[in-house]
Amino acid sequence: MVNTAVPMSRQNTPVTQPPPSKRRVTERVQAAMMLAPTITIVLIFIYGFLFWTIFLSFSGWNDVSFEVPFVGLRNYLRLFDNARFMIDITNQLWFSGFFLAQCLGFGFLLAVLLDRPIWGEDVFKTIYIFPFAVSSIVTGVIWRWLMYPDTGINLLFDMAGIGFLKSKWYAEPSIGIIAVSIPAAWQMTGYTMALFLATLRGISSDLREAAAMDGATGWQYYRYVAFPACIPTTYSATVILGMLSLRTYDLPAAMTGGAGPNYRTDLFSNFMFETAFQQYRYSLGAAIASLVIVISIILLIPYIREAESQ
Amino acid sequence: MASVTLEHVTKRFGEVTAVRDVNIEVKDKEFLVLVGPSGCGKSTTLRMIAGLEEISEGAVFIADRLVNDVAPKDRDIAMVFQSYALYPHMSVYDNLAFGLKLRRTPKKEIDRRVQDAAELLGLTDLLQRKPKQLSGGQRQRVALGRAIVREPKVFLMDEPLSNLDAKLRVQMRAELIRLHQRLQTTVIYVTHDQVEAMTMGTRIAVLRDGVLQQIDAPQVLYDHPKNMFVAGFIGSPSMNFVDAKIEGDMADMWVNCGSFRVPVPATHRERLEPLLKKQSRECFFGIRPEDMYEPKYAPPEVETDARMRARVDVTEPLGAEIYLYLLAGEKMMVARVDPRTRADIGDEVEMVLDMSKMHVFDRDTQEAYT
Amino acid sequence: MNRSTPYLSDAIRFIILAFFALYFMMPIYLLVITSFKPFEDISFATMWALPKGFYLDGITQAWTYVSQNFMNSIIVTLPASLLSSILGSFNGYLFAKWRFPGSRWLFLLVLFGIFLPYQGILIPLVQVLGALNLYGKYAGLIIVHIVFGIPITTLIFRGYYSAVPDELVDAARIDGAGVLGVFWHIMLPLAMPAFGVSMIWQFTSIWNDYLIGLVILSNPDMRTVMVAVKNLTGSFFTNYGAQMAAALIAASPTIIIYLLLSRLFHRGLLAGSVKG
Repeated sequence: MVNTAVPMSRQNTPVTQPPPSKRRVTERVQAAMMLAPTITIVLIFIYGFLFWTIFLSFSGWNDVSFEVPFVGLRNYLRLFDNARFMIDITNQLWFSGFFLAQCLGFGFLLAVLLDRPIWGEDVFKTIYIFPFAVSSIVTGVIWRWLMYPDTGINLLFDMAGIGFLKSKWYAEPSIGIIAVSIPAAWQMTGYTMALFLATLRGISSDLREAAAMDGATGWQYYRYVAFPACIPTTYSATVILGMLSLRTYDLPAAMTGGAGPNYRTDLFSNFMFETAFQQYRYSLGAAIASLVIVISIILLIPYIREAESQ
Repeated sequence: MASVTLEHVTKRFGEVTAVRDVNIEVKDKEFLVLVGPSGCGKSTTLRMIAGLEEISEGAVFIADRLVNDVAPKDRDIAMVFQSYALYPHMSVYDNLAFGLKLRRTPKKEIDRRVQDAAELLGLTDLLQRKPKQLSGGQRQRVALGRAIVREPKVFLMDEPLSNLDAKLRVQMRAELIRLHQRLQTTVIYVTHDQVEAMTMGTRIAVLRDGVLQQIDAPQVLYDHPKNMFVAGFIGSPSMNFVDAKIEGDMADMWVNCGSFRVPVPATHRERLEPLLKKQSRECFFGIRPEDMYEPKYAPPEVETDARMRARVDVTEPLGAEIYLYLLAGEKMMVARVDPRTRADIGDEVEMVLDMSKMHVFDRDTQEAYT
Repeated sequence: MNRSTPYLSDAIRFIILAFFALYFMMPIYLLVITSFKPFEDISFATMWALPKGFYLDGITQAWTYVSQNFMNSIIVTLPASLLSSILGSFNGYLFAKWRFPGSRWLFLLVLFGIFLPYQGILIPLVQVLGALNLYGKYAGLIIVHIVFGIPITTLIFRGYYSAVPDELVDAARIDGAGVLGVFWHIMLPLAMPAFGVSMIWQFTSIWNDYLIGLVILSNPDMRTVMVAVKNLTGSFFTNYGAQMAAALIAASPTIIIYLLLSRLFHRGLLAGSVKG
């Protein structure tokens, strides 16, 4: 060790100082470099592709040619001139609305009912979340037959003597897309319940007891303590479920083949898929996709900002 | 030779300066305590010495080697953490051995050192246990052991006792002092507890808002605090501070505190000369609770000419002593008096102040007149 | 205090909960009973009736349709979920324990990938895979699932590692471990539960995927099981019994995992919600 004759005034002459140019590569920098390869690929696959899609939507690129002519808003104008796209907008609104309403409504209800301990609680939770593990295709196949006009639910209604409730479900043009939202919500209600339940259970027991000491009854506790605590959860659940509903493709495909009678179960994703991959009109498909991207980003920006602030 | 030197060390986190231009020279084999309230930069300072935080400005030397750009593992230091930071998936033995294994120490040597440390700390029977099977005190010992087996030049300890209950803390305090004497290693110890600082440190460095206030032996800090912050931080209960004014001249000097007026002993007048010359003679008068006496129980060597009257607001009998919370005019003061003192709430009492222990601080800079 | 009169009696709560449980189980009931009925019992009129016995006709026939696709799905799902979990465990560690300037923003950018509207990336995806000569290949699909799985696995592991005290990292650094050493010796051994969560999550979502598999693997022999099941619904020569049986086969791996490991599954569920 260099422990001999250390000058007392080290300020002027550091004895063993390494040349200042050779700075150590700090661990933080190493960490950043280790992240770089995978994250770069992920970012290219996400953002590179999203931008490429938006770029294509302004082009007239249709097939394997290398020419990508710029056509401005032509694809979008065509889209808004297209009757099917107009139906899709309505369908998408109905679908997302009913899907969200069912998931949030039933999910919240179930969470509140399960908040306090009850016999069979674990079994209930397992059952409610179960459909989340079932794929949308399988869900679609089952509900295709559950909602088959000649049997399934209608048969149950008949057996229960409430045959007036019978419906042609997805085969009924007026409510087709709403019928599709039911199995979609069947899949995601348990998930929504789990989100709410985690929030309710996360309320500290101190707060609960304090409310009880203040004389709050069960209902008042929920009204003044638990429900307000669920507002942020409702918000993030809305974003997550809304994003899911925007990209729903599998379920209508399995139930009605996608478009359904008179395009009554047609959603953006199905229209986009058929346009791009069956008709090979890539840039028109890209225009549909770009609109979905824009809607998604608008939905997500406040959500990401919220997550960022934590 | 394991001195540690900090030269003009500064740490910034974004806009916030956590540590500002700190200069400390820790001598070989010294037990230096860094003390201060939470957020004062003491832990950050320690972490810069450890290499866990990068140094924004200045230089850190360990054993006369500049270590600014040396990785923590190459600094020849060991550290004990507040949460102990034991590896939960490793046995006590593996926890102790981990650092040596990473350094490719021969197996035999690892075993010898682990067994030695275990014996020193009374862990021999616990070596095969996992951390979660240990009590708080035992975990604390493992954390110490992990540092000891490395045989480092410098021990860094970051509030190692603050997670223990009060009784165990006192016990471990004594044990740490013994350990330091035995191992003869430099120790830098961070705590927010001034009692720990006073009892353990050969020297204490007091930090506040990232600025080093004073560094000296415990008794010097107690007797001659450089400013009001150090004066208030060291000692319990805290020193009393009263708005005051200096009156008279070098021959006959008084401290006027409004509700009472006490003479300045001849020995203290010279240091107050600069204040006397100032236009405004306003200052803060400081007196420790233990330097205030009920006249009957004042020790014979204390001059009894400095007296004040006050009303008893609250009494806290602690058995060996009583804390009297006194109201002198508007001002609340605490006196730590003999347990035989009879004083009830609301009583008017007379107190003697030991003016040879008086402190005077500047009104603007809060620096002591010394 | 009148604790004896809760706002809703337990009996009423139980009845409502049980009603919903019936509703949620109804489709599963139908799926299972139909799959084990003999073909002659498959009729619209007796759809809800229990099978007269335990018949494997439907399952056997459906298996001949989808067995190859089932294997294809395994070929894709296992490596993709394993590799995306491994990469996620490493990335999550780096994001959680080595904050560098901009790492927070980078993480949020990656986070977006969880919510990705798939429509938005399909066209370039096909083009790029074509250019890389990966289009129509298992490797291509595996890579795509890995890349799009990394955001959620990173999030799962980052959440898990964030709960590991930073002092443990500091202690290991002083003990002599570097960025990789801390990961290998300390974090990875502690992360086994997170591996369970991540693997289950990835297995479920990759196994259940339909759209990406449909787009990338066009060769009928290479189709994934979900694509095959969907295609069965469009064919005329199978009755609904065979469709249901095929659906049951396709759903069984994730259902079994769910029933066996519902605790780990549950945790993944909440990880994806990013904390409201």
